[in-house]
Amino acid sequence: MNSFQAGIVISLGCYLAIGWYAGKRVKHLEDFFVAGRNAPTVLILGTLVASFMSTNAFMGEAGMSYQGHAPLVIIMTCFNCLGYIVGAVFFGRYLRRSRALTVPDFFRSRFNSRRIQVFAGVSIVAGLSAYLLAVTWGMALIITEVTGFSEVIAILMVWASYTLFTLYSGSRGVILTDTVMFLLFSSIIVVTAFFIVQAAGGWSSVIDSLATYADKPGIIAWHGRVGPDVYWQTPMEALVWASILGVAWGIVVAVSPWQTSRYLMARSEHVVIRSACGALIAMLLLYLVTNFAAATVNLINPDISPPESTMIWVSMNLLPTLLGAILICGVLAAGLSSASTFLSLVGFSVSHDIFGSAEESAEENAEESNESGASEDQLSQLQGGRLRNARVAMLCVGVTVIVLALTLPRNIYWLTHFAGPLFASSWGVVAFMSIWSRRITESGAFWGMAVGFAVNVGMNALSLAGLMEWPVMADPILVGVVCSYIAVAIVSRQGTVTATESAYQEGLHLMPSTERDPATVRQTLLWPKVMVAMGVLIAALMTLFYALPYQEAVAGVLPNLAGHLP
Amino acid sequence: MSGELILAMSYGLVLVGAGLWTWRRVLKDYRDDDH
Repeated sequence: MNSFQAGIVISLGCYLAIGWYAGKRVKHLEDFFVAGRNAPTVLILGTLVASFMSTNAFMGEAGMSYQGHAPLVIIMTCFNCLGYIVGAVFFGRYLRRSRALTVPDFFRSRFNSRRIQVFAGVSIVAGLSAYLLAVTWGMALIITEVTGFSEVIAILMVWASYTLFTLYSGSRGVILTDTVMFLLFSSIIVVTAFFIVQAAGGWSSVIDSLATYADKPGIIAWHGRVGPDVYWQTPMEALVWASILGVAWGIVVAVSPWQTSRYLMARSEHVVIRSACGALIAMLLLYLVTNFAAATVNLINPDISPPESTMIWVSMNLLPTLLGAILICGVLAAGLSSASTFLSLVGFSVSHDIFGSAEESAEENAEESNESGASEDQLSQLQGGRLRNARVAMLCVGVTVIVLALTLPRNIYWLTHFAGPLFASSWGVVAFMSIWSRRITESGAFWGMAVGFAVNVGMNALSLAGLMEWPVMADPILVGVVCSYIAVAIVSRQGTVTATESAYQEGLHLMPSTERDPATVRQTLLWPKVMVAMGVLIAALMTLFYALPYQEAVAGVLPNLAGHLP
Repeated sequence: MSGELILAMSYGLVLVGAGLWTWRRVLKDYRDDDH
């Protein structure tokens, strides 16, 4: 067994052990679904970033940077990371206040509507199962490339590792393993960047060489490579593309179930806000380091093919063997953490949101009986039954995914770009309006979700079939959001908001007194202070070590060129 | 001012702006008026 094979097997074993440890503490349904609603900031921060950053960040986006578009990825990150703050402040903390078990469960309570819960649950099953497939294939590809295992073995290994610990430990295990994985891939990417820069001759040499890099001109200019050889013809076109996609993915970050459902596990609303601040800082730093490092690899080997395998090449050819194996484990960890979150959410939706009504009513009845002191055993039995059903549902989802993963043709890129943003179009408007609008009706919310979903899927299907090529201004995510809003406005105008819905919406704005503790508020205020300090530091460092040396290097080339003119 | 300088400053200013706004929002929403 070589170092890469050993590293992968050991890391997968560690995640299973952590999952087993966390699973032993799962006693009730709330432990399994929302980790007992007691998670501290570090775990919510870890799971937020780990769920968002999948293999795509270290393969797809790193490959894009290697090809000369790192600045565009950086510009996109500026916009999409703001989704953390917007999502936590305007949706996430109210979601937590609702004490729902899942996000569709929140929609059910808010609009007193079972059909909305089922629709939201079905969209989670469709969207996240597709995303899960893409991540499973992505991880299997890495394992195949670095270990020589067959693709089938690689798919089975990946599937078994995330399915086993998610099945046993639910959200308790997922947030713990996510945090460990977040720490692993964050630290190894920083070490890797250091090695890449050293191998390329040190930082100032790197900036000089990249600023004047003839093979990929403009590779670290503010707009990256533009021109007839690439997708973007002009700097302005590149800027518009990155800004629009950044905003679209910002909505995904703010409302998607694999991000907002993390807030349901937070110990308090302050943990929601603190972890969102931390996620913003972590993502900005990680994307900066990863994508500049990937661009720098050009100075060591300009011919890596396909570009998506840049980090795999680095791990196998540039880093010392041990660090290379850890980098591969880090990239796999990014994929596994997303996969475990997706699997758990799909399992929860199947068992609770789609097929859960009968059991839930039985439990509610038992709870009422319990209030009168009648049947605690009955309540406990029902809880145990629902916990078992949730695990069975998750196993069924897992089995379905492995069958699909082994039989369907691979289309990682399309699935990732279809499944991720689907929720922004379908849920975005309804999520924010469910908190802030007094006029949105149950029908308005349902049709808003349905129209956003249908428009996004329809536009993507036309694009996939090659029948249409949408301009960036008409990105399916944004068109879906606009159509969803129009549907909500038109349908809500035809109906009335019921007293139950109004009362629930008003209740969401009643601040629990425990959240006003002055000491806790002071602690929360530390996070924005750190953000400001980090922002000033990043701006100063990027100016000193990127913008100014870049200008000098480019200015140095111009007189030389002038000297060669006749 | 070059595009690279604007990019460098903006990347940091995103954090500064978000931090200041969050600071104000937390104070507004969670400050206990009795204290």
